[in-house]
Amino acid sequence: MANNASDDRFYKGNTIIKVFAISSIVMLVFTVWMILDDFGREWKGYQSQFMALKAKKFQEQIEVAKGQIDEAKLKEIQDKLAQAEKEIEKKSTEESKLEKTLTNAKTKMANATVNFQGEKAVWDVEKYQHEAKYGHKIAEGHMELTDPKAKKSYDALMKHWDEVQKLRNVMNVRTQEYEAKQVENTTFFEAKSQAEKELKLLRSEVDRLESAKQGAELTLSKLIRNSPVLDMASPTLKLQQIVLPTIRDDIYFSQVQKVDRCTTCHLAIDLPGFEKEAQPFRTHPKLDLMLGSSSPHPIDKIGCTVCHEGRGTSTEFSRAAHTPRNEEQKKEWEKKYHWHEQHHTIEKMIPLQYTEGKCRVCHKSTEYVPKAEKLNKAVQTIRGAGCFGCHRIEGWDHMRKPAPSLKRVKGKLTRDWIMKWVRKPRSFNQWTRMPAQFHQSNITSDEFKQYQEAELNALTDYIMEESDNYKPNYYTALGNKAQGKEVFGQVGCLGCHQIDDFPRNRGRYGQAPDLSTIGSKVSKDWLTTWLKNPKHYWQGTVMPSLRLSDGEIGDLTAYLLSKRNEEFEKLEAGTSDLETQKRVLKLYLLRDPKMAPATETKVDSYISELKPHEVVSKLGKAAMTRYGCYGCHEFKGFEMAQGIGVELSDWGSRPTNKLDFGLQEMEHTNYNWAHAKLANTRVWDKGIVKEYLDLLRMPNFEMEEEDRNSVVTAVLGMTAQKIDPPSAKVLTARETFIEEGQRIVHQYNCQGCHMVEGIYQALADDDPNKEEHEKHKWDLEGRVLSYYSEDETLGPPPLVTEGGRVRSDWVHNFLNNPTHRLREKLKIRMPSFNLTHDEVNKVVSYWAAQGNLQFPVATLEKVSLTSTQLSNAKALFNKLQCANCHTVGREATPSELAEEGSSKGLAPNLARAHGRLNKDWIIQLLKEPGKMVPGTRMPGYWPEMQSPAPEIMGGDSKAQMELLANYVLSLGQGGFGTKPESEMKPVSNLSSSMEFKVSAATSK
Amino acid sequence: MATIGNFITSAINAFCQPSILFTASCILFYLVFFRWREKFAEKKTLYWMEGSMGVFIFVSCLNPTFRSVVTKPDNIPIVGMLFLVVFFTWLAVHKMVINDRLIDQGLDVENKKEAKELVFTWPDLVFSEFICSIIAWCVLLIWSIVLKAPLEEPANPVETPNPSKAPWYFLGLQEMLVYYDPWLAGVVFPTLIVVGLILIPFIDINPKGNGYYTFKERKFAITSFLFGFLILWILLIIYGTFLRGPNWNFFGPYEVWDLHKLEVLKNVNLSEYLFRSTGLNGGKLPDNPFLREGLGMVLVIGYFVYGTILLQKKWMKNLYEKMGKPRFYILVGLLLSMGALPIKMVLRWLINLKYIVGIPEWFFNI
Repeated sequence: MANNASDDRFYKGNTIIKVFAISSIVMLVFTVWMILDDFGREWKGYQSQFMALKAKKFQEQIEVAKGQIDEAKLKEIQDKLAQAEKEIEKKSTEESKLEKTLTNAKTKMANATVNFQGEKAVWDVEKYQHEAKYGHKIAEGHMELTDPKAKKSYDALMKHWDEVQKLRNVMNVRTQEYEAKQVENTTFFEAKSQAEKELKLLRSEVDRLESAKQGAELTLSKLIRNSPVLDMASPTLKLQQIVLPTIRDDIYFSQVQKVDRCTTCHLAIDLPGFEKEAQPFRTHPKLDLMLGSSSPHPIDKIGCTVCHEGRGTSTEFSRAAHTPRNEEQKKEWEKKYHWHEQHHTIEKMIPLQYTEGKCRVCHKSTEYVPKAEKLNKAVQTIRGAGCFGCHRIEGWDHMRKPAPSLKRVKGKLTRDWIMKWVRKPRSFNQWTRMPAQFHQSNITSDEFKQYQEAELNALTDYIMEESDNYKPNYYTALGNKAQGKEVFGQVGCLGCHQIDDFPRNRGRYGQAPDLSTIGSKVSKDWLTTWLKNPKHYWQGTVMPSLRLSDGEIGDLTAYLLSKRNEEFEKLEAGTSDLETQKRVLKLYLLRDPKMAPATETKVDSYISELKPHEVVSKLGKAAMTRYGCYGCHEFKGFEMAQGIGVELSDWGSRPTNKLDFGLQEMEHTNYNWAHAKLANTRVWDKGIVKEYLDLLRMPNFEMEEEDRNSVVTAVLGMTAQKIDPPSAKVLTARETFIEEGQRIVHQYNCQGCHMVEGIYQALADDDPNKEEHEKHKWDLEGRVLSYYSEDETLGPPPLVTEGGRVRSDWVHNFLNNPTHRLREKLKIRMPSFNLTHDEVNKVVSYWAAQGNLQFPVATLEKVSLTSTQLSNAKALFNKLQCANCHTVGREATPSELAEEGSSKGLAPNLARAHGRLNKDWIIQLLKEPGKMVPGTRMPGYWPEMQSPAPEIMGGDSKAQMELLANYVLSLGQGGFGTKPESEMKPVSNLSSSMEFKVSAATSK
Repeated sequence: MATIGNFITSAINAFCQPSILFTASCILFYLVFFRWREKFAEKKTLYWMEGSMGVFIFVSCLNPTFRSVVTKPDNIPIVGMLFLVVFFTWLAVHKMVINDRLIDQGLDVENKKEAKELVFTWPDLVFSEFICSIIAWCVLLIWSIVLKAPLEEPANPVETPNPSKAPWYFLGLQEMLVYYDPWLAGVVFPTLIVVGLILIPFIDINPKGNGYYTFKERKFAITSFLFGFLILWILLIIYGTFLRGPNWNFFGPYEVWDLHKLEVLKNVNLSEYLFRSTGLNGGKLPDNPFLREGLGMVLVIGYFVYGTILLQKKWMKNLYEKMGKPRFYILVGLLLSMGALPIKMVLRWLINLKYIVGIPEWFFNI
């Protein structure tokens, strides 16, 4: 049939079979391709590479470990082993005999054991049967054991038990025999096994590493375990993931546990030893802070994407939403990883340079985050720039307004000055923080320029009109300019202010204004009154009184008034005509809800009824409302008004498509947006057609790149991500005290002069970044110390261990009245801040909490020394020559103060220790002076607890230090130290004979 | 060179405007089937059409917008589909023309000749089917390996994709939404399409063309179906896929998909034309929707009633007599519904008509 049928076939011959065969082969090829495509995941390659890398590392370690083995000892043991083996060989007949008897004994023991266990099992069953039959009845009282049936059964059972016991005895005997043979055997081989043991001990590290290395090597069994399909069972290459049950990802309709699979490729991220490897195998650069098991953020508690963002569940380079740091890296990634933007991913990775901002996700309750230097710098920049004046930021509500009050500005500035200043703040002082509001890049037409002038005039008039009167109340003659400069450099103005005669040591956004052109701003009388008592002009200022003498004020005023900006003085204030002002007012009124629905005629007739000054005042108020001056400056009538900016609390989570990029060609990312906006706040208006009142109005900060980087870092970390305790940082009661005190410290800029928290940590000498790092030594704390780089001890003392150092009552008194000097040689003064009771208490609690002191006040204990102790103490005191630097019970004499390089007057009067210092702290200071007071001149006499005076008290270092501390505390007891503060000698006036030690103080 | 390039691209962009391209497609449809059928059926034409389409797409890919739209993993199959549509349309016409010639000469059509030559199920049919399934399997494998499924993020209610597009096979329906309200474009019309397709075998009583291609013997059936398929379905899918961008705005093939592009939206209801433009009732719209939308309702009802009468008495008199009442009325109902779409499109383009009957208070808008 087949033959006949072939003629009727549609396709002749074997055509169809061939086509079928070919297509089947093609299908097979594609199916295999599919399996391989599915099997060959990117991360498997990385894991294999990492195995090889690990094997290499182990090999290196093995080499090191081998090098550490004592060759001679190894040889010795090997010889010993060879010797022992030779001995055994000699007695080979004995050895074989021994072996035979041992085997024999073992067999016998095994047989006896089996016999016993078998019989015991039979007995157990009999016991059960007996209990089942009679036991229950006896237990329930239906039968007695004396019952004949029960008795019979019981007797049989007990008889059998005796037999079982006999078998047990046999087993024990056999076991003993075997053990005896074993001992014989061990003794025979003792020399050999001893040598083997020693050898193993010597090689233990190498053996351990070798077996670890074997674990990392590719073997056939691993190959099979990882092959397609079989890899479902127990592969060695597998996904790694960290599940964080307390941290949840919001996927819109539900919240799921955070799952980070980053460690699937970043295999060495928490393993030390891979610091120099190429990615993805590099160790985290800050293992002691992040990811390390003993760090505050262990990897299994924090994962990766909490800080870095990105799609934690993905294991492909691009899909994990890696974000390149810059264009260069982007190009490199495109080439190397075929990286492409993940348009649909919202939680893209934050570029590495901004990651630190994300600390805020968990650390919300403190102003600064420990060890987050970049973020802390950003916080300072935002404080200085006053972003929070207009933009609410959660956690920043307690901040005071960042700029001076305008409530009495009439008594300080002239109308013309304000006009010129507001028009272009940097024309007055290039270092000003005030952003420019008028005549920015989006004011392009002549018409709009006129409108700006109209508003500027009206705004200035309005400010003057609403200002209260103010009259300075302190007058003094102008003094000597040169001396004024010296005073400026010495008393501590530089802690907050900058002036161009002294080297700049901070950026634009510091605590207080740059004074380089102040002479063109304020009047003499205003300045003298301000210097005398800043709170006279402005109750809310944080400017302290430096308790300047009349002469000093005269000198300082003469100096500051000489710092003028003549170009600015020559500028025209400019005017505007009423008609233009009416036109602009009309624009505002057409949108005024009170006028709605506003028609031209309605507004026109309303304006025509206004008197000229009413037009100006209304326009001024409208401009103030629109431009939001009141966000930073206190202004009458605007006390409760909200700032004009959007809230930034969760800006970092804002989708990019909610940001206006105008017509600017750039990659649409929030950090690009923020950078461009901060560089020119009106940039998005470029090329866009808008009505006057629709133009962007954020004042222009024209931020430099460094400041922009700071702000962007901070802002990207302000996200809507909700992390609850225990993952989020919750302050303990102690930490809350510390934070509250630090807020006062930051507000009054104590850290402008003092090192408060000891943030700066020097890098190791061989660190390549050391030099660059040193430059930023005073960025966050103790800025003024940069002027004392030759001798830090001439600057304000570091307060790093202040908490444990001083008693709470002393701190309280000192803050309320800091007039007496502890270190008479210092020229710089502790200012009088006139803190409120609440503020003082907060600082006191801060130190108490920081030093774990008893709080509020510990009893001031009386120190009494026996005569032996006293003589010992005196001997020690003299031997260590404490009195070389310290005075006891007296002030340093002028000649001592004048002496070059002397510490007299730098080291505090020891008679003041009682009532001020804590004993424990003194002991710690004696032990490690450099740690307790960084930069101190005080030498450490007990290096590594080696006593400097072995002849005293048997050289017991601990006892010596304790004694010395007690002695010091006893010195001022009932005497100098407890004198009321008011009787203390007031601050000595500066004597011009003493040279001020500022390294580059007069360089400019 | 650049100016010529600009001129050409903007000319093509302008040509692709819905009003122009749709009208042009209708004209082309008429020409191909009623004037140029013989020419169209030549093999040369097929090569020329597919070739020029390929060249057009290839050259156009120099333009970044065009390239990004065409090479999206979602859209690549649709590009493939265009080539297939052209091929199968051509194939049908090609066979029609051959058969029509044979019929004119009084000869058997091709299929009838073939049908006389019987072949075995095994091995020819079974093997052929098996090979086809293998090839289909291979294509699917390659497709799934090379073009990864374009998966996106979990749906975010505050951030919907723009444009939000239906799956490609529903883009025709989505395009209808531009012209009709959802209850019509999303419910009534799709239902009619499905029902209509089901009813075809029951309505169609023409015994000719059974098992072979012919145009002359089935002019009405073929034109009405292919108009619905090619113009009202495929063309609208092309619009939805390639020419509708953010905010469902029209974008020429070379036009950048600018999120901020605005189009004039000043569509006006018929009733507003009636009362406001003519000053009827003092230019005030009556509150009673029946009074207000009376004209529109009359027009809509009139379209169906008068249209039916006209077809029955005049243009399709013969068909009416052959089919009988029930079949004929169902056919006419479907035809008129199909015709409603292009009519509304034209009205929108010409007079910015929003609704013929607009009663938003009842959610009843036509």
